[in-house]
Amino acid sequence: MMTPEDGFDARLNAAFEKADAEIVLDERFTQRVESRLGMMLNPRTMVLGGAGASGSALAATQLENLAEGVVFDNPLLTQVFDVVGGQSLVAIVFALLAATFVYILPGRRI
Amino acid sequence: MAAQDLELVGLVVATGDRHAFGQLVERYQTLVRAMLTRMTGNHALADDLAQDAFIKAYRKIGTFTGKGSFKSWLCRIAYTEFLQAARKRKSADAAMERYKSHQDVEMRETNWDSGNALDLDRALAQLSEVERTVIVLCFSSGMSHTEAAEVTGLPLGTVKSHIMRGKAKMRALLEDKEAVTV
Repeated sequence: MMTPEDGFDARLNAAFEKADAEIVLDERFTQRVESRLGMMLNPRTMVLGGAGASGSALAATQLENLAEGVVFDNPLLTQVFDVVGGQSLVAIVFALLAATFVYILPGRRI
Repeated sequence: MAAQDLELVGLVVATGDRHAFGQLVERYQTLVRAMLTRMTGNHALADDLAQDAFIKAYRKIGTFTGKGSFKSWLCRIAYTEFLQAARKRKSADAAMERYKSHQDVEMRETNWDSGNALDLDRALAQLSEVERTVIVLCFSSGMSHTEAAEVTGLPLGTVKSHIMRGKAKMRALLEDKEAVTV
């Protein structure tokens, strides 16, 4: 048997249902949230990126011969290469590659 | 449905996949926006708070243990956002009080239409913050009393009494309104 309380509950439920029906799925809302997420680096990305970059840089210091015989046409690049050193340059390139990989990976579509 | 939520959550936790999280946003945005709209009585503010709640949920997703439902966990974050925003807007409380007393008069003067969102928000504005919250969680978000207790962090018995009191106030408002219009 339906009590007056049940009747009021049903009335309240109907009132909320009708009022909430005004709030419809908004794709722009989802896009706004996703774009805000895109602008922030989460701690996991920073930790993984940092660790990956450091590891790659360390590993690249062992690749002594990789930068040997590299000649640049651009005098500025030649100067940078002379100052920084081939080994360090290879380490930097490897570190950047690892960091970029960790940054891009979470943004891939499923 | 629940398994899909967990799969998406797992993907976000493992890889930080923004698009997997986007699917969760799409799934729960109407629920969170409706809940916050009814709590604040303001669509624009509710949407801003909902966005902040989803961003916070993304940051804290590693803390979701999967013991309760994702919906309850998310609503708890949204409720915390609402409370924080309410605290920040304390200076506006006096204005809100004036607005409420103005609404008291308005409620008596106009016909209470239970299907009208504005009237429902007016009636909700007469309740205390906690009464409004539990009423919204149970009637708008379709939560059980236990889930509402999880979200608010209140004991189950307290939630039940707030619901009883809130409903009694709304009922009195409604009946008072109907008596005036007859």
